[in-house]
Amino acid sequence: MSTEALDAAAPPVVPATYPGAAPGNTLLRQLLSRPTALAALALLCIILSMAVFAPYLSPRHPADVDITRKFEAPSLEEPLGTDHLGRSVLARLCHGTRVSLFAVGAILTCIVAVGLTAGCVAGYAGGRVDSLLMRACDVFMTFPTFILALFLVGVLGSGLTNVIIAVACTHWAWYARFARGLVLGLKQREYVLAARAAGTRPARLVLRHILPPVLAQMLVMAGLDVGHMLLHVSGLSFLGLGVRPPTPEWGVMIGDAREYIGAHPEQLLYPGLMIFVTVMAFNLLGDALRDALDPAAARETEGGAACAAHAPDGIDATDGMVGPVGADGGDGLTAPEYPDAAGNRPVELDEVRTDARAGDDRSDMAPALAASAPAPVPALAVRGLELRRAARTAGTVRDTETGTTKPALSGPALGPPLVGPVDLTVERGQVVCLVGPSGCGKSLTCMALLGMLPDGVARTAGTIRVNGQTVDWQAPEGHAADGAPPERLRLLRGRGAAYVLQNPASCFDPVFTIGAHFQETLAAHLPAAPKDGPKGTRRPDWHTAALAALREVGFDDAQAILRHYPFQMSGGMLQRVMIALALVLDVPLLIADEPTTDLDLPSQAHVLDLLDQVRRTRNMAILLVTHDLSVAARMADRMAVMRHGRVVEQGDVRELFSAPRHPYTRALLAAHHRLYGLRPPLADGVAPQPLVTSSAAASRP
Amino acid sequence: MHHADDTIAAPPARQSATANLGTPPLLELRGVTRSYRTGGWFAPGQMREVLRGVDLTVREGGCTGVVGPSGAGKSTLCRIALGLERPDGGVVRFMGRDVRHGLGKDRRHVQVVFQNSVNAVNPRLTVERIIGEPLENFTPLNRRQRRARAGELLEQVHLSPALLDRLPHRLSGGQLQRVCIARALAPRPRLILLDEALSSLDMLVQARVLDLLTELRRATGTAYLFVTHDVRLVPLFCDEAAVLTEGRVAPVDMHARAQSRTRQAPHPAGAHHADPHQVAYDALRAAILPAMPANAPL
Amino acid sequence: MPAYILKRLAALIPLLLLVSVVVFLLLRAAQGDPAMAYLRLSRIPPTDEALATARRMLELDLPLWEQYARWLARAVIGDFGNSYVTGRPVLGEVLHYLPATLQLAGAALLLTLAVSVPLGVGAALHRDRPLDNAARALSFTSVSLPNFWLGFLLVWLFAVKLGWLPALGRGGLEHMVLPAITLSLMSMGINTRLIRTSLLENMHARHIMYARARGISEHAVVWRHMFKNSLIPVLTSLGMHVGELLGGAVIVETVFAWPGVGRYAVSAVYNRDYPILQCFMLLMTAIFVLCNLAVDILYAWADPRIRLGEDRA
Repeated sequence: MSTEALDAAAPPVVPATYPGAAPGNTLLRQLLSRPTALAALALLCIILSMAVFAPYLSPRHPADVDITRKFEAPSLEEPLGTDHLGRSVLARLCHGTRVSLFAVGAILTCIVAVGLTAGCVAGYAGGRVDSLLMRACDVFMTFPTFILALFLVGVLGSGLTNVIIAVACTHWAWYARFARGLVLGLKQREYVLAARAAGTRPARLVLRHILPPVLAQMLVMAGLDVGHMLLHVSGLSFLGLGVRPPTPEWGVMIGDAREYIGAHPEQLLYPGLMIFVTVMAFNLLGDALRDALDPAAARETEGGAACAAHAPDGIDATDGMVGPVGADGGDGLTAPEYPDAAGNRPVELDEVRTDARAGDDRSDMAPALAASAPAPVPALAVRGLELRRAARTAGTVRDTETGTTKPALSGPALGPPLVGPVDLTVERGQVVCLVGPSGCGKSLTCMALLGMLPDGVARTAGTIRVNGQTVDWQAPEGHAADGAPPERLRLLRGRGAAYVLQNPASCFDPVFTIGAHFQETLAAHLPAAPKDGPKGTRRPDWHTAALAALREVGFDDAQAILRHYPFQMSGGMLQRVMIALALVLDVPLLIADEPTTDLDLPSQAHVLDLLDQVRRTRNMAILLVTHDLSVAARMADRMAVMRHGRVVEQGDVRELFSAPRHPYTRALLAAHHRLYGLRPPLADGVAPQPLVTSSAAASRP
Repeated sequence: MHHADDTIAAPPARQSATANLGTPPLLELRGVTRSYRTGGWFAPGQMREVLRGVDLTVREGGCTGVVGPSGAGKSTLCRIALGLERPDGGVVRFMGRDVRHGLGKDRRHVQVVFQNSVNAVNPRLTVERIIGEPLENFTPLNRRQRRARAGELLEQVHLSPALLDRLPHRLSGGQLQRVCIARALAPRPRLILLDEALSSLDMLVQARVLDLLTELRRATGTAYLFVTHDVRLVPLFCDEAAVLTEGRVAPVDMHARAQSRTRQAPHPAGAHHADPHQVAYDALRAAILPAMPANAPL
Repeated sequence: MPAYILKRLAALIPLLLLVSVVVFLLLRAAQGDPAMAYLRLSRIPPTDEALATARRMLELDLPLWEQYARWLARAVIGDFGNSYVTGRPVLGEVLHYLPATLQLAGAALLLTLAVSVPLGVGAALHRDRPLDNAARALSFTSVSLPNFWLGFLLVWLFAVKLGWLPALGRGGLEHMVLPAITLSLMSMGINTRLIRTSLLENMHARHIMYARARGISEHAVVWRHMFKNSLIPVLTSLGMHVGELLGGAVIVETVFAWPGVGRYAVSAVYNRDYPILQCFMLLMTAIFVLCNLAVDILYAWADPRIRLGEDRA
C-alpha cells in the first residue's frame, strides 16, 4: 500500500465543500485539460494497444523456443532481438503486457468490490457488524504488505491466480477502512438526512446518495495505488513465485536476464523499462484524477486558494428573485450583475458621504477645544486604496504617484478593481464599523492594511498610513526563503496595529501553548537589551506582561491560561487572548475582522463589551468589520457600508441609521429592522414602529 | 440600551398564543432522553448523556421556537423530532400517535430545512431532481408531472422555474436555501423543522427568507419547529418558545419581561427558585445587541 | 503520557493474538496434510506407521483449538519447532539471518531521512523553482521504478562496468552501498513528496498568517511554526516506511545475494518449509507493529492534542 494513496486518503471524511461535486462530464473535461493527464492517457493507450494487438505486433509466439537463435541482435524481423532461449523479446514483452494488465485489473476489481462492500456495510450498519469488520481490517493491516503477499503465496502456492489473490488480500483492508470512513461521514450529512426525511428507502439512499461519492474517491485512491500493485506483482514474479513458465511476464523476464547481466545487459533493459513506463503512466493518471476531483489540492498547486476564498462572489445579485422584495422594508432594490461579460462596471450611485471631511465628527468635543488643539494623527488613514487580481513578479517598479518603489505586477492589472477606491479614517478612541455582505471585499481590505494580502491579490493604488507611518508595499510572500517583508512592515504588524479575527481557534498554532505565543510576539518586537546596556532598557519580562494583559481581558486564572494549548479553550476565550496579544504591545489600532461571527450571543456580548472597555481605557482605535448591523449599533461611532468592493456610504453611525441615503444602506437597514420586528425609520425621522408580528397575522383567517 | 424588548407589540402576540392553546398538538415530545455509548469492544464503554429530558410541543399551524447552543444536543433533538433517530426514553407523539419507532405513514408530514444549504443537497443532482425526490416517494406523479409541480414550487418560493436544470454549485446561498424550502413543501407536510435555516444567510437574504416563511405559513397552514440561536427572531416569528440548556428542553415564557422576575408576589407559591430554562432565556435576551445606536437623534 | 503508552500496549495484545490465529490457520490450511509434508521433506517413506507416528508427533490428533493453544504456548517461549529442511530449531535459524536484514533496513532508513528531509524542505521553500521541479521529478521517478530492476542497473553500472563496488554479498561498507540505495529509493521518493506537500499545506494555514500578522519574523515562521506542524504527518508515515522497507528487503536481498532473513524466507517458500515461514511472518509483523507503536508514541509526544486528550478548560 503506497503512502501516496494514504496521502490522498489522509482526511478520511469528505470535506464539507464537497470536492467530488464535479459531475461526470466536467470531470472528463477537467482531466483532458491537464497536460500530464493527457500524456498519461496517451501512454496507457499505447500500452493497452500493445496488449490487444500483441499477436500482430510480433508474429512469433512468445513461448517459441529456438536455441539456435539465442541472443540475436536486433533486426528488422526481431526489433528487440531474442533472449537466452531464442524467444522473441518483443513477443514476450507484448504478451507480458496482457498478463500484467490482466493481473492488475483483476486485483483492482477484487479490492474495490470487496473494500467497497465491506466498508459500506460496516459504515452504514454500524454496531457489532462494524466492529467485527473493523477488527478483520485491523488484522490485515497489521502485516507489512509485501511480506503478507509473500506469505500468502507461500501458503497458496505459486501461480498468477494466487499472486492476484495474495496482492488483493494485502490491500483490501485499507480500502474497506477508507470506504467506511467516508460512509460514516456521509451518513450524518444533511443531504442524506433530508433524503431520509423525504422518504427515500435505504437501498435507493445508498445507491443514489452515498455510493457515488464513495466510489469516486475510491477510484482516485485506486488510481494512485495501481502502480504500486503492479510493482508487487512483478516483484513476486521476479522471485519466481508468480506466473509459471513459459507464460511471459516482465518480472520473470528480469529474473531470467539476471544470469546474463555481464554479457547481455540489454535483456534486463526492455522488461524493466516496460514496468517503469507503465507504473509511471498509472501514477501520472492517479495524480491527475486526484487533482481533478479535489479542487482544493489542485488550487494549492496553482496558488489561488486564498484569493478564491476572499474574492467577491459574482453570483447573481438579484438572488434569482421573482416578484417584489419582501412584504415591507425594501424598496424594490435590484442590482445588475457585477461585472458584466464585457468587464464594464455598472453605473452606481456616487458614494454618499454624510460629512465633507473624514475626521469631522467630533461631536463629543467642544468646538473651541477642537480648534485650539493640534489635530492628532489618525490611527488609520486610507486614501484611494485599490486592490486588483494580479500576480507579483520579481523586480520592482517606480510608483510615479508617490515616488517610491513597489513590486512589479503581472496579470490583468488594468481590469476593474476587486476593491476600491476606498477611503477610510479611524481616530484614536474611535470605533469605525465596516459593514457589508459576505464577499464584498471587507476582509481583503483588512488584510491590505498591514500588507497581508494573499497570493493573487495586490494593492495597485492608494496610500495607507497607520499612526502616521506609511505602510510599505507588500513584498511577495509566496516564496518564504526570499522576499521576506521589509523590516519596517514586519515591525508594524502586531505593534503598530493588531488583528482580531474570526474563527480564532484556527489562528493559533496548535502545538504551542498560549504562553509561547505571547513570548514570541514580545520577542519579535522588543529587542533583547545588550548585556551592558543602561538600566531601564531591559526587556520587560514577557511572563509578567502576558499575565497583566490576560487579566485585563478578564481571565482570573491567567497563570493557567498561559500553560494551556489552544484546543483546550473555547472560541470566546481565544478571542479574548487575541485582544490580550494586542494589549501586551499597547497597539494604537485594532483591526477586528468579524470577531463575533462564530460566537453565541452571550460570548458575543462579552467580546464586544471588552472591545468597548479597551477602547475607553487605552484610547484605542478600532476598525470593526461585520455583516451584522446590530454590532455597528452597539459599537460604532462611524460606519462605512461596503458593497462590491466600494464604500457606498459612510458617516456618523446615528445619522446613517436614522437617515440613510444610499439605496443599499436603506435596504440593509430595512432588513436589519425587519429582523428586530420593527419598521424601518422613514426619511422624515419618525421613530421605528413595531411590525405586526407573524403569529398575530397567522391567527387571522 | 436594549431596544428590542420595548418595541415589540406584546399584547397581540399573547392573544394569539392563548388562542392557539386550544389547538390540538401536532408534535409532542415528553421526557425524551438520548445517550451515546463511546468506546469499542476493547475500551470500557462510557455513556454520554446528550439529552436528559425534552418537553416540547408544536401545535397545528403553530410555530414553536427552540433556542440553544449548537452542539450534540441540538442535532440529536432535530433528528429525533424528524423521526430519524429513536430516543432512549420518553414519548414522541405525532397527531396523538406514538412515533418513537418511526413516522411510518406520516413520514411525508414532517420535513426539514437545514442551516447549510450546500451540504443539504446532493451536489450531483439538478434542482428538478432535488425537489422531485419527495414527490417521487410520496406521490404517483410521473416524470413530466413532477417537473411541472417542481416548477410551481419554485415559483411559490419566488424563484424562476428556469433554475430547474441547474446544479447546486451554480446557485447562490440564498437561492439554494429557497430550493430546500421548496423541497420541504413538496409533499405538503404538516410540520417543517427549520434547523437554523436562517443562520448562514446574509442579513438581506435572511429578512427575505423570513418573510417568505411567514407568507408560506399563512398560505399553507404548515406548522414550524424553529430551532435557532438568534433569540431576537423568536418573539417575532414564533407562538411559543422552549430553551435547550444542559441537555434539557422546556417551554419558557417568550414575552416575560426581565424586570418582572423580581416581582415574585403575583406568582403562585412555590415558584421561588428560578426555572433554569427561563433564566437561560432571559440571559440570552439580555445579550441581544441593540437595534439602533445609543442616543440616535430621534 | 505513560497512560497513553499503556493503553496502546494493552490494545496490541488482542490484535497480536488474532494475528497469530490467522497465521496458524492459514498455514494449517495450506499444508494439506502436514504429516505427509513432514515425511516428504525428511525423506522418510510414508508408510502407515510412519504417518501415525508423524501425526502424533505433530499433535495432529488433538482438536484444532488445542493444537493452536499448544503452539502458542511454545511460540511465546521461542520454540517454533524445527525446520523441515535442516531439522534445526526455527527461531535460531531465523535469528541467525535477522541482523543482516536489520542492518540493511536501518541503513536504508537513515539514507531515506538524510536525503528526503532536506530535499522535501528545499522543494517546498523554493516552490516552482529548479530545485522543486528536480525534486518532484526525482521523487516521481523513484516511486515508479521497480526496485529489483534498479538494483540490477546499479550492479551493471557500478560493479560490472566500472568495477567500483562489489555486486554481491555482505562484507564491508562498500558491500552495503548499492543494496541500501536500492532499498531506500522508493521510500525516499514517497517521503520527499510527503514532506513537500505537508509543508505547502501548512504554508497557507491560518495560524501561519496570524503569526506573520503579529510581526513574527519569516525565519521564525518557517522554522518554528511551519516545520514543527509539518513534521507530524511525516512522523506518522514513518511507520509506513518501515513496512515498505521490510517488504522491499526481501527483493533487494535476493538481487544482491545479501544473506538476510528475507532471502531466507524466499527459499523457505520454494521449499515449503512452513515452520520457517510461520516464524518469519510473526517476527516481521512483530517488528512492524512495534515500530508503529514507537511512531505513535512519538506522534503523541509531538502533538499535544493527542497527548492531552480532550480536556477543555
